Amino acid sequence: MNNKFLDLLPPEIKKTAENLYDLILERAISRAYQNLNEETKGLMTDIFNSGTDEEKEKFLEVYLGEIKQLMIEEAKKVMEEIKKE
Amino acid sequence: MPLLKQKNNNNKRIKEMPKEFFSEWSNTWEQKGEPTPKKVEQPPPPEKTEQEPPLEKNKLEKTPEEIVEHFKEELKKIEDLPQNTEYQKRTKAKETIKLINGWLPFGNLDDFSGLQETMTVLEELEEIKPKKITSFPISKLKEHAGQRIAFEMALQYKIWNKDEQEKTEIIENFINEWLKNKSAYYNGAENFKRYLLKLPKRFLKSRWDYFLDKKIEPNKTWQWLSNEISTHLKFLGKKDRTIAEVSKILAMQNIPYSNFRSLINDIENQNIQRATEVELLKIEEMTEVEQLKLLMKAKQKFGTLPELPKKIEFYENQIDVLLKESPEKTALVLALLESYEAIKDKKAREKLEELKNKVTKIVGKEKNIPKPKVIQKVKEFIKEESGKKPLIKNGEETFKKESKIEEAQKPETKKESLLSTIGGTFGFGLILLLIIFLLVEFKAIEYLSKEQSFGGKK
Repeated sequence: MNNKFLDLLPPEIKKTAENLYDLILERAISRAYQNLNEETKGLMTDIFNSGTDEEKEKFLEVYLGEIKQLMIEEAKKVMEEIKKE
Repeated sequence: MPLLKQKNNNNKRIKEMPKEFFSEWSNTWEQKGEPTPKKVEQPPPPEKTEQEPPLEKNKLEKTPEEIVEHFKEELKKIEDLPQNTEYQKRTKAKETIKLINGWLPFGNLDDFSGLQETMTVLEELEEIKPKKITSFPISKLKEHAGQRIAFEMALQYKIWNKDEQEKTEIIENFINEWLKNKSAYYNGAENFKRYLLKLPKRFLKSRWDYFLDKKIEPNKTWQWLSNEISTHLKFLGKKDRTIAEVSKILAMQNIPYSNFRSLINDIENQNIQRATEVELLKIEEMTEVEQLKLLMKAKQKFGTLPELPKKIEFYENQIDVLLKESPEKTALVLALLESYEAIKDKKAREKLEELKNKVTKIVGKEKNIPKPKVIQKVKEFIKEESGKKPLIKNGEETFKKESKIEEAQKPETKKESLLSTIGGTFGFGLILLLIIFLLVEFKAIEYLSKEQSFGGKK
């Protein structure tokens, strides 16, 4: 995430915001990954191991276009989990 | 001998008296038993009415339509309140102000039409006569309320779902109507000016001039003096200063100067107009971050935060706005302000600590779950790349705003990429909103001052 945005936050919230962002992003990517077929999963591994930045970006735009929606859903789930803790 | 006769006469008189006179006596003599007690009619037992089930607590209004409807119902109740005595007028005015305070954060949902209706309530109270020196100062309240509504219109400009031209027109018409045409201060100053301009005619006209019906116009000095006095009296009103602040707030949100040029031309006081134009040039030259910080301060000073429990719906609305893929920085600024305020309070700090600990627990548990390595790589790539801005000058990221000429010369850029939105306004906004939801849930924000005093200060 852009550090300039995080710097706008007060320090008490900055670390929590960073942790939450990591958690939600990771879960959203995992869900998107599970929805892919084996061939695409293999392609993803190859690109992110040895591909260029442009190829990676293109892959994300083609195959992980719904990630924003997934992030919202994961955010709601995280909220429920925190409430139950 | 005559005495005896008199005695006999008396006896006759007694006999002649009607029996009803002796009725009570005769009854008591005749009855042998005790007098019966009078029957006191007992009141009928109260009818057992079925108890109405207790009213459910106000449910959280979720949709914008329901929020607007709720406020309109409150307005109807206030309109039905009596306004015959001073006390009733005062109560009605205070209730109206409370309603305005609650409605302000949601004004854009109905294009501020409901808030304009609340102003008519205050106007009706103001017009009730006779006006006394001891009358409740409704004119002052009305002026202040008009100013706050205008500020809120400017602060909600970005999230207001309407064309920019229409929005500016609404703001301009509102200010002209309530801070000029219907303002007691503005009209008072104008009337005083007219009175001053007529004075020379009354004092300088001689009898001969009256006879000849000669017209005497005030000289230039007198005209200048009456203008100056009127201008100073208009400072009691809030029109020019409101327009100045509104135009600055719009400039902080990166709205082009041409969109609100007509608003600045409405400033009558030349000093205020010149000072405003200088300030606008300064704001235009600032970087985005500096503009954001200035906007945050303006929001703190002039804006109104929504009260609970409507805060959750307010932020749900903001999520919808963020999803439209346009960087709505004002929504982020509002969210930021909430978090800043929450942290100042000691109890809120404790709650925040609680929240932080829970988040670290969940994050710790997540780390124990095995996942493919590629997911970690994708995550790191997104975090690194999404922070970068599309325009990089001399290898450094800059937030400097381009001048209008450069913008016009720039070729059409592509839509903002997925990465820049995930790590940019969307991602940031999502996390902030999540934190605020959680702070609300843990009641950290409850410790904020709920009802703000009239004036918007906490």
